[in-house]
Amino acid sequence: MRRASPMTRRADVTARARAGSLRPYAGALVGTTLLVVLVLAGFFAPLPYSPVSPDAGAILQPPGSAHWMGTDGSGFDVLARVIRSAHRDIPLALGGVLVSLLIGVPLGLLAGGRGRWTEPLMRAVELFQAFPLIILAIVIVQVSGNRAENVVLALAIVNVPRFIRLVRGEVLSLRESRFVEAAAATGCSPLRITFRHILPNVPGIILVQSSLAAANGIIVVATLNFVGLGANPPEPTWGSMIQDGSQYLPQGAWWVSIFPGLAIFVTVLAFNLVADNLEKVLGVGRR
Amino acid sequence: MSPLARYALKRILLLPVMLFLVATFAFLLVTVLPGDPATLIAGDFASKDALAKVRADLGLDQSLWHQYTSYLGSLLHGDLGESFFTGSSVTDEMARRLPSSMVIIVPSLLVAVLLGTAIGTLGGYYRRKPVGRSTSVLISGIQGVPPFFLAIVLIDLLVFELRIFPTPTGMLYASTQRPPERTGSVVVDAFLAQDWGVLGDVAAHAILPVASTGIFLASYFAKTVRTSVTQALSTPQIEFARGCGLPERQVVRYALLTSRTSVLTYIAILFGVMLGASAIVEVVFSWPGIGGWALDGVLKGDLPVIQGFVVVTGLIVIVAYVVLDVLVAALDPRISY
Repeated sequence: MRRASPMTRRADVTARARAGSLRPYAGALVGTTLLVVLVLAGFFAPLPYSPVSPDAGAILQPPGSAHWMGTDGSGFDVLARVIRSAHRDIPLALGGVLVSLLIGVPLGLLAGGRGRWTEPLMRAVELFQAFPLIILAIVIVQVSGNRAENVVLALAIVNVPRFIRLVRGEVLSLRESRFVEAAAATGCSPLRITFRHILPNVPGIILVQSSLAAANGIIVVATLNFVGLGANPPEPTWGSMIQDGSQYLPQGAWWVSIFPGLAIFVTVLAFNLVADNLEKVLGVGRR
Repeated sequence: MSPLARYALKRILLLPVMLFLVATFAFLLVTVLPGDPATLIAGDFASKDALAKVRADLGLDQSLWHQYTSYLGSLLHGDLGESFFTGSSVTDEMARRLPSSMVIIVPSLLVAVLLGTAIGTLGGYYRRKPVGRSTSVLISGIQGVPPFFLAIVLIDLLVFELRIFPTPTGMLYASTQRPPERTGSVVVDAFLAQDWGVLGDVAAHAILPVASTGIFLASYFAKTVRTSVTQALSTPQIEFARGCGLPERQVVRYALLTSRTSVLTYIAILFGVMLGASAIVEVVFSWPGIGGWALDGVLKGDLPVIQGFVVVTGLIVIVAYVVLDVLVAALDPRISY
């Protein structure tokens, strides 16, 4: 017998959660905790050295007991700067996701409609996605100024296409389900169907995609900072630290670049961990 | 005319329309966003007269509509204007640099597609086994290493520590004898002169940049392949293939063939992303391609360079899209056109 209940989705979720282990929950929790700790440390961690005022007496010190991650060419403590960067880089990535949700979800709902113009809209989105968006992000921040809100805007634009496509795909597949058919049969208006019956069923998969988009946001922010945009020195960012450290590689001073790179790696991994495990917990794997 | 040819023709006839849209987008991008190019060029402390002179020289004192029409007019002649700073023709500069960029982009795409297909197929086939789970970890891990950082790591390890690869300062060794100049692009010149030594040098310098971009983008490709292979493996067609007792190798081959359309479409997206990622990597390796040059132009506020880059990459992406769309239509009889 086919399940035709309007609660199919939720039934699926609980069934899967009951059958599955607790491992996905643990994974999602570990990822989230890691991110929270990183951001809190960025704001409040007591740092042994100032991340914005250099010690001219300790230039390019290798990692040791005094400076755990060494110092850079100006005498900044790398550890202090790696920790401090989190308070800017991670919230920026999250802000970018939030704005792209605000733009992408309504557009996705619209594009999931039956209008004649949805097909051209999707082609435009596809084309837009195929454009080198990282360059677009760089142009936006360069032309409109080095402020946090411009970085958020650039990030939002980079991530918008994926939300439009995702929401549209969800809406299209949900339109085929029995409960939408039932709602239509009882005389619900298309607007009511969209907002009362379809929209409540998409948050799970949006949440998963948001975490992936945040991971991508971290990379985009780092890229902007790497080319010298999006932050004002001596304010530390992971991307600008990697850029700054690259000039000391020939002298064998790898630590200036490598540690901030590892911070990016850990952060992206944490976001991906959250996404992968949320997908399992919520039972919203791509069909 | 066959329906397929008609479909291809329709898409090709739409090309000029799309190019027009891209050109307009490029124009709006640099004019609508706040920021004053004259200040960028003359400096923050320039006098009013100096600013006015710069504006007049660049034609920025004309009305927007006038600027737009003259921009479109010269675009029709293949003229993308001159760089604000060097005065060189943007079209010439891009034509000269494009071959060098292709030396990175095409092999990177190949690496991304081959590596991505391998990882994605393994992940999709062994979805619930340890092998499949480790591919997920691998994909997440690769995504955490942006191309520019991978480039730095590779340079540190393989250039400065182990001294396997040449220093990241362009395409050639300082001592390399350049081929006789004909087109202005070292790659094309060497090819015309059949100078395999120079081409070998270029290849040696290209390995690290190609690895940096290719490996990162392989992770995105792998995700797409994994999703579509997983879907394909649960289709009745595959069930039937297994029911017929075909060897598993054959079954996987069929699953890959089933998912070829979504995979092909993704290559177009990947291609665009690649143009962006390789620009950053070109800067790291001082590679004389269009990406690094355009990025430099962007950072200086060189509007014609920005516009030119947006138009040319847009054109490349659109053409790639049309080619892939037609290819998909030719390969997939289910698609009606």
